[in-house]
Amino acid sequence: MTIPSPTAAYVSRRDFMRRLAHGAAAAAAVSMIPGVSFAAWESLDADTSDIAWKKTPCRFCGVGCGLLVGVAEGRAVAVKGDPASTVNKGLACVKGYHSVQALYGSDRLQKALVRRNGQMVEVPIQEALDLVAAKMRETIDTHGKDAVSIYGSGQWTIPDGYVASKLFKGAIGTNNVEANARLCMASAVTGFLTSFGLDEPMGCYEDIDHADTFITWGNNMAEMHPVLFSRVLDRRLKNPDTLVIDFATRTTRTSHAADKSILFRPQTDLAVANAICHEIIKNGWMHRDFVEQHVAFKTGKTNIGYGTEDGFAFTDKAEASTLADFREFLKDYTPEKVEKISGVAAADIRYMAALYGDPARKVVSFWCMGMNQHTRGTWINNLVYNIHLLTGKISQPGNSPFSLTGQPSACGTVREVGTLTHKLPHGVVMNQKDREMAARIWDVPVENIQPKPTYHTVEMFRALDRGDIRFMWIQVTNPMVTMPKLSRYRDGALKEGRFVVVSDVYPTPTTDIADVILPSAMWIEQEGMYGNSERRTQHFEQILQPPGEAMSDTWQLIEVARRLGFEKQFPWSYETHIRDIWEEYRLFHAGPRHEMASYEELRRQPGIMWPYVNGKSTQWRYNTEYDPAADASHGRFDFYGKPDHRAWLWQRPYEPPAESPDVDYPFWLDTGRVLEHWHSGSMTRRVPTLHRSVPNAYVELHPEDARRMGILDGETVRLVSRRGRLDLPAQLHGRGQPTPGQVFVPFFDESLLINELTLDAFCPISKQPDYKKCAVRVERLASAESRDASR
Amino acid sequence: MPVCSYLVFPQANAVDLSARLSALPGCEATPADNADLLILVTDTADAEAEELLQAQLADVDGVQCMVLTFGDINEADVPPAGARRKGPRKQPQDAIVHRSH
Amino acid sequence: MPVARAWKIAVTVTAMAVVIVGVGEFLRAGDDAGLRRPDHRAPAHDGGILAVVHGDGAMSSAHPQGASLAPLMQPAAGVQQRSITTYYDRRAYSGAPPVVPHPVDARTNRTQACNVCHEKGGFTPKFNAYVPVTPHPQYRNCLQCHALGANVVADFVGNDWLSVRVPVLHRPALPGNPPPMPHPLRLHDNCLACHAGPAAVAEVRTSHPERLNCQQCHVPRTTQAIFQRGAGAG
Repeated sequence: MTIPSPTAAYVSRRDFMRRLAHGAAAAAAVSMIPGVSFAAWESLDADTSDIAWKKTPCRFCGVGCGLLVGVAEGRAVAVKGDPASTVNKGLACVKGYHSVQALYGSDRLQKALVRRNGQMVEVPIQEALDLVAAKMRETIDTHGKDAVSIYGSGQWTIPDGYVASKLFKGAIGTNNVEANARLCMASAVTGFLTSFGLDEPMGCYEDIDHADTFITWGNNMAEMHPVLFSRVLDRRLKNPDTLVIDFATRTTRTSHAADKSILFRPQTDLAVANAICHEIIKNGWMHRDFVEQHVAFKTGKTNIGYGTEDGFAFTDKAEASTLADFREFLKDYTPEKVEKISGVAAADIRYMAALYGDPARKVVSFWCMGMNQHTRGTWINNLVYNIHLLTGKISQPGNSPFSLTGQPSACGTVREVGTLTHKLPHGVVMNQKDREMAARIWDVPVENIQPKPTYHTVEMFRALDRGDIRFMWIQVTNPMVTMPKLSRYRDGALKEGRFVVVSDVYPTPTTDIADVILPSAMWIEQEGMYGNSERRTQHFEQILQPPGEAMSDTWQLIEVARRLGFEKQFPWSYETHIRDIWEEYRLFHAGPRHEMASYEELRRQPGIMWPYVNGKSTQWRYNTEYDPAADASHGRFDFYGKPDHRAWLWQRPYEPPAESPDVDYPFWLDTGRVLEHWHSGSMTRRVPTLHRSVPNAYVELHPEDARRMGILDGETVRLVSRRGRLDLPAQLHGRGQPTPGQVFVPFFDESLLINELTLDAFCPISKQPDYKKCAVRVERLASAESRDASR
Repeated sequence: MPVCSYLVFPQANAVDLSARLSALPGCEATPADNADLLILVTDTADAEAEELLQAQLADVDGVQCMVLTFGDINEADVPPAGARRKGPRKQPQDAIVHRSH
Repeated sequence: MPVARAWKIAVTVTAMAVVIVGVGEFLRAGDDAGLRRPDHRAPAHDGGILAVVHGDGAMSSAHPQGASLAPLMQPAAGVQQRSITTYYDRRAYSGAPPVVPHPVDARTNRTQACNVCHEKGGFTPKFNAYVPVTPHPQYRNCLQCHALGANVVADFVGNDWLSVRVPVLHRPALPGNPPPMPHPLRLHDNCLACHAGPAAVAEVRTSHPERLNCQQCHVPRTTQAIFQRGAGAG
């Protein structure tokens, strides 16, 4: 046996134990004999200079922190925040710091698996890809092109999503392309499109350094976007006039860190936002010049439904309106009236209005899932823009309505590449010109690209259940944990005659239902790009070798495309395919409104914000001072996304949610994330530090409710909704505290699937489900026997 | 895989003793540069091998005293109680801390 | 330096449990078994808190009340100590943010008021320990980086993580020279947080905390390469 020599740059656990053992003895010796030295101790010197540091965006959330991954002997061994990244300025969060450990879970998928007689059997990956292609061909021949589909995610790299869109929309000719970002960002997209005509924020993270007022709308930033929240707190430290207001339905770490926490009843943010507008106009805080020059008033349809029935369809219709009309509309939203609906004190509504209305204050509004996972998600996005438009606090440093994202490339891949049924990399399938452009760049006949969108995500899984879709390829996502009203979609996927291919890095409840499992390369085991919340595209090179036969999702798709006979459209060599794909994709975004940087530029810089024109990132869009696409003939601002070069201010009323608590189901159920776990937990639960911190899901109850029902902290209780039931431990004194009459459950735990209970109601405009509101009851389990009997 | 470390005080020459200890299987001894003292790290395959090694260590000449400073042993390595070697010496397992990872 | 005649063996906290085997058994058994009495006592470490020496010469054993804490936190007796071993045991790799090794109450879990204790340090009877001082008190979203580590649960699946060896004490170039810094300084720019005071990591406690300009003498070592003419900057 030897103590590991300095040449071995990393150590096994056994070596580590020996080192600890040696260290313990040496420390004991030093305590007795100060100054004693051991030559071998010195020779154990860690050689930190053997570590090569490589830059990459973080694998997890949409903040897009720059990380430096330390690599030694072909393995990732350490992480630090990249001080050169303007996003995180050298800091990361606990997920980022431990992100590389998620590469090394013991059950990484390394071989392709194929279901044969009900058993999953290992096969060479090329054989599995043959089967996937053959099955696709067979399904298209038997059931038509619209019977095959692909379901990806905001964790797809930009090349992954681009190749998927090109294969399905361009080569095969079906719009059956969706991504899980439909479940998290769709309302943000439709919010941007309806208000501004173009997707994604006008501002950037640097707004934080200029603002003095931060209002979080249902957004627990301290846990979900911790690095940005730390920037907010840092701003407050440096500028003591800074105020942070947490406007939420539940008390969280963000509420505690904020200067003021304001709680509202679920769904009533709609009413409060209108009340804020009411106060702004009433008190003369409206920025009259800005509104006259840059804003157009609109109305849309009301009583728009909830989409809980199959085949639900809705199209909004914009009608011109006026400021006078808007004032009239707002009469229903006086602070006193809204106090009754929302439970927010009229004084607090006035306080928020005064902050927005104070011309001396620079205000950033932050939101994420609270506003997006909302049956009126598009509306509440519109309403917060209304506040910023009325006060003219938009598109300038420090004045910014800021929609955050949850996935590393929800913006880059889903929104910019357009991996949604109605989208193309530039524009929408319904538009002839956009189809022609895509056909030209993709080198396919224009008739291939179908002018009609097919299924949004919830409908796509309903179609699989019904049998309209027979083949589904799922990449980098875990819908059997994340779909609402889960049991219907799981049962549907398991029906006879359905063929499901899943590309992933670990076994999940989704690979459990797969007919073929393809092992994927993860994150820095491949080259790629992500696009974060502030329009920043970040390149990462391949830093590590994927394990076993694991292959990038991009290359899996290319392999299958070629097997289907599309060699002409997918001609790239393995060595240069990412560069070639990027340069082809970039053609879609040519022009000052969305120009993307070249591959070489992306490699060189820690991230580039589009539009990237004349070698310069654009920080504030629509502002003629910063945005090369903004035309000064329209004034200081040019909202060029709309044909009238104005931002649209929509009248959107308060409407109740699809399901509210009642006598049988008296509690609101809110679901969400925790800091340590990311999405369905398939990666973070394999990281020891993160798993130990939060090993299982739980239900947060207000202590008053618990006392009333006699529920003790840690006791297992049963949640029941109209869709399903779940037994899980009660948490009365956790990091978050719901209001009385509300419970909160995190969704990361595949053994405690809260989505068995959630409702598949969605925003009729964005088609994004509402995971934050449904009705449940809480039952005490009298004894262990009744608990066991239920299983 | 029990891993232990000891501080060993030699009766006479630390370097000389170090060579003899290092010759035992799974042993690595490191004498101090500037004191009559050495560190012994042992690494054995299982509890049985550990027992055997400890018996051998007890027979090494020239040791004045050994102090266990570190012990790592997995549950799986520990043989059933009846299988343990009974002897006059203190059962080291009793005091070895089990580290669960 | 003849030191073999220790009649009391002082063992640091790093020694999680102390057991005497072989000849050591005699120590416990009595004083007339051929061991020589020491000429002098083992010198106590500064402040006397590092080494715990019992008057009867018996060894310390694990602290029974500490059973719910990570084993490496067990002190020999008395005050809980930070050692280089416990220091690294709380980190996934050198440079990783450490986990929170102690229970965190509901209030602190929500308010993240960790700096109440960790900004200035001092003795806390609650944990019978000196509170480690944070090297970066300006950050207040503490649990952003520091996961609660108290849940000792079976891992859902294993993880085959490996990392490089942690940096250990660096030897000076010449005897008596100041040793270089073996770790980067990002988020660790307050040297005294870990290297001075009663909560310092025992093995790396400075002997001269009064000299505040640490980097005057201790410089980071960023490469092992030596200067070569014409080797270039790349």
